[in-house]
Amino acid sequence: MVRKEINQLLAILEVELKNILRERGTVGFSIFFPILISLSTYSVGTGILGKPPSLELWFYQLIGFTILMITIVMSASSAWYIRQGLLSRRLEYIFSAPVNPIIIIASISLTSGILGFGIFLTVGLIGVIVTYGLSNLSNFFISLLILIIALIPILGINLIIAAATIIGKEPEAISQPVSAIVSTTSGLAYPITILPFILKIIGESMPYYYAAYYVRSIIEGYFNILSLGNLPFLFLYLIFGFVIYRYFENNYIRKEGAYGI
Amino acid sequence: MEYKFKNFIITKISAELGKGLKIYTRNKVWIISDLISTPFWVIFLFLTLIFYAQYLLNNINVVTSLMWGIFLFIFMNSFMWAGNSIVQSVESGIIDNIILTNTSLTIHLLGRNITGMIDILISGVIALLTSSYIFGATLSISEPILFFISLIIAVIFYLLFASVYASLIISLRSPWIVTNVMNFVLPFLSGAIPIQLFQKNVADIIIYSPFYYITGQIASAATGVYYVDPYLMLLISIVFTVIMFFMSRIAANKLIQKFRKEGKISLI
Amino acid sequence: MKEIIAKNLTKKFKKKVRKGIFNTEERVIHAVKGVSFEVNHGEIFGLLGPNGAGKTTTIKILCTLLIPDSGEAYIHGYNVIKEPNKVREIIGVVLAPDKGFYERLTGIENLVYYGRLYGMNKKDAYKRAEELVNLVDLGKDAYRFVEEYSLGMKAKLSIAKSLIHDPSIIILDEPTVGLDPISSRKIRALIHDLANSGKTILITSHNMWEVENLCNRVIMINKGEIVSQGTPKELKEKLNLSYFIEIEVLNADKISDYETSINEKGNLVVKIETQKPNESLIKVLDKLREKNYIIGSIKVIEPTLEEVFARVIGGEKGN
Ligand SMILES: Nc1ncnc2c1ncn2[C@@H]1O[C@H](COP(=O)(O)OP(=O)(O)OP(=O)(O)O)[C@@H](O)[C@H]1O
Ligand SMILES: [Mg+2]
Repeated sequence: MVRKEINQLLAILEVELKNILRERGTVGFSIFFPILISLSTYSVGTGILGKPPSLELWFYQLIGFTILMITIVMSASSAWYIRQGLLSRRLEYIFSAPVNPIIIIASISLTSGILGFGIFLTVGLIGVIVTYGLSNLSNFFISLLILIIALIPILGINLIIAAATIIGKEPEAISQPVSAIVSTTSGLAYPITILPFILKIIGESMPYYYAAYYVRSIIEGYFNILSLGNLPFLFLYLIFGFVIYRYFENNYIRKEGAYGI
Repeated sequence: MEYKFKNFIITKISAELGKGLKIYTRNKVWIISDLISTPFWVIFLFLTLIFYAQYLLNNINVVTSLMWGIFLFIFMNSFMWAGNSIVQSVESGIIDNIILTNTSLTIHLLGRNITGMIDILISGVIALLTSSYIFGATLSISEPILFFISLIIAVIFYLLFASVYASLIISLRSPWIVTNVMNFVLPFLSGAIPIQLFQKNVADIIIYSPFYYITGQIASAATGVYYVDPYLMLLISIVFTVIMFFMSRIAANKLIQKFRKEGKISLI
Repeated sequence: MKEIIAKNLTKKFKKKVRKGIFNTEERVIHAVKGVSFEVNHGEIFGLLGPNGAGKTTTIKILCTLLIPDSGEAYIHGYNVIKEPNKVREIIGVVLAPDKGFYERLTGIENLVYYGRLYGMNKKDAYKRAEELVNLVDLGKDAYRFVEEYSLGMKAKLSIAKSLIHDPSIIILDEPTVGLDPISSRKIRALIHDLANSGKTILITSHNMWEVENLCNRVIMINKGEIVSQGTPKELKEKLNLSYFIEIEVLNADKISDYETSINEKGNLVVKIETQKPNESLIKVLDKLREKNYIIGSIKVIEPTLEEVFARVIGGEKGN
């Protein structure tokens, strides 16, 4: 039973990964992006301050932008997958095939997650070496493990985005507000302490903030094991995502047909 | 019955605009999406840019410069997404029919560009209001006439740029990622973020970017702070717009030529 | 005047096929290999062939959407490669009938949009669009969003779209796909009317019966090459296809000289396969009458285009 599903998941994963690897330009760009943006704001910082700011601050933003990139890739691709599926009627086939749609969404998210992980590995490595030299490398590799765990609840949010795409039909329109809210409130490019209270609460209740926090704190060596206490709560997103997705799948796609792209 | 055919560009333009507006007003999801996203993006960009010197949040000049930077970010964003919309035209097979009607790519993209401009209006106003409400930026325009002229030039420039951009990204597998990324890169390279805020040597590089004369000009006119002489800037912006006009024609022809050779515009 | 002229058209598609992550291999698909034909004014001309034969590729070349590797084509005297704009003004095209429309516009709105891109003013375009939706039998559905359309409705809309600018040459790639019998009969009548009013029509279809009833002349292509051409009748004669004669005999249980069977009424039926139906019929009737058999009914079954197709293409495929 579970074995069959793992097989299906791996099959889709393989196809999707091959697809992504074919587009080397996009992968390269995704790696280039956090570096470029962080250097741009670093340059703005230098201009404003009249002298180069500390590299640790640059590293802070670099990690943030990398996670932002991963977020954009992950949320955009699951929304697009649904749209493409509706457009090409592929989704109808999938619903009539003995494959659990959640397996499909999960493998799509996993694919973009793996892509995101690759981006993080590359960019993070450069950042750590430039900022801390070789001494923090072991910390960096530990942070990779935490990142994997921290990315899993994000899958739940992707399911919600996928569900919203089913109703809203416009993938960009759906993934855009998510990217906007996540970017603003998750402490990616600046500490959330400077945010108004409400935005801070939003940020602290979503997994992205913790992904950035865990990774940074492990690399920089101020990681507190107690902070992992948030993880179980974050995994509620996964369950929540599954439930919402299931609901919309049953109540919209199956009831109204896959018309209406 | 006899029908009159005038291959007037005006007829085509009004058909595209009419279609764009109809679809826009029917896409409530997009409108809501913009209304929700914009204030967040504004806050995000503000705080990101000021990250290294948070005390400057109290400096009205800096804050006002940033406000215009964000306004221009939205401005360029809209045109980029209009360019990106070529993807849908190709996927839906509409592009074949467009080619059959002898309509140019730039005119076809107008349909999406018009919605982009409505977005600029709505989101732009939200951005200005958010900036002034949350961060205390001043809403006055320093050189209203130059501001207005440069805004019009920029609209024309980016309308043309949208079709060049469209023909560049169309052969990519995941154009939306590139568009997302470009949206963050361009504001820095275009003087939307006032270049006085950068290191001098970086600023000196940015003034070689054509986008600077288009976008940066608006920022300068709004804030009254010029890095290059205003009239020189105006002249250069007109020259670049003319160049962009020819580039858009070349790009559109190349794209259609490629399409006719390979049987499809490869979204491999 | 020859309205459509295709001379020795060839087209290859090159495709990069990825082998592993880093290696690519170029694969060449030879879609059209030297196809030539001419279509007269007012003619309905059929292009037949199995899947992947190169029909759509040929059609795309003719309607300026594809440039051939070699060969020439003319539409109403205009060169499709060098004068695409002129060609586009006078042709109406149905390609992939389920695609090419804005989902969030109604059928009518889509038609008006394309009409205006062809240069009509809004009022004329609207009038013409309303006329056409009635002509293709789309009726009230024309006022619904295309996103709600069934395949057949989209096909009807595609046909209407191809006529919006009143073109003199109409090129239809499988226009009747997805249409119900009554709708496709209407569309066939429409195509006949168009031809009678002086339009030239090039059509592909997988429905042999439809082609036989519609087309003045046809060509069959397979693997990019023409394998047979002529009027439907000529094609059949060329292949020496058999006719079948069935004669119902009311007062016999068994006739030894012929192949027989029993029909649903319980009567004996004599069956004859022949290349020359007239002579054979007279001969067999004489023979049966000699023996005082009473004849109930006579049926002569002509070979169909479908058989021609199966023979020509099937034979090729068998090689
Ligand atoms: N853009 C393209 N790129 C690569 N190969 C193509 C392209 N278009 C068509 N082909 C190939 O050319 C060959 C002929 O295709 P074509 O579409 O002309 O066939 P067809 O006769 O219209 O078939 P059908 O009856 O299925 O519509 C096929 O092998 C097809 O795979
Ligand atoms: Mg075909």
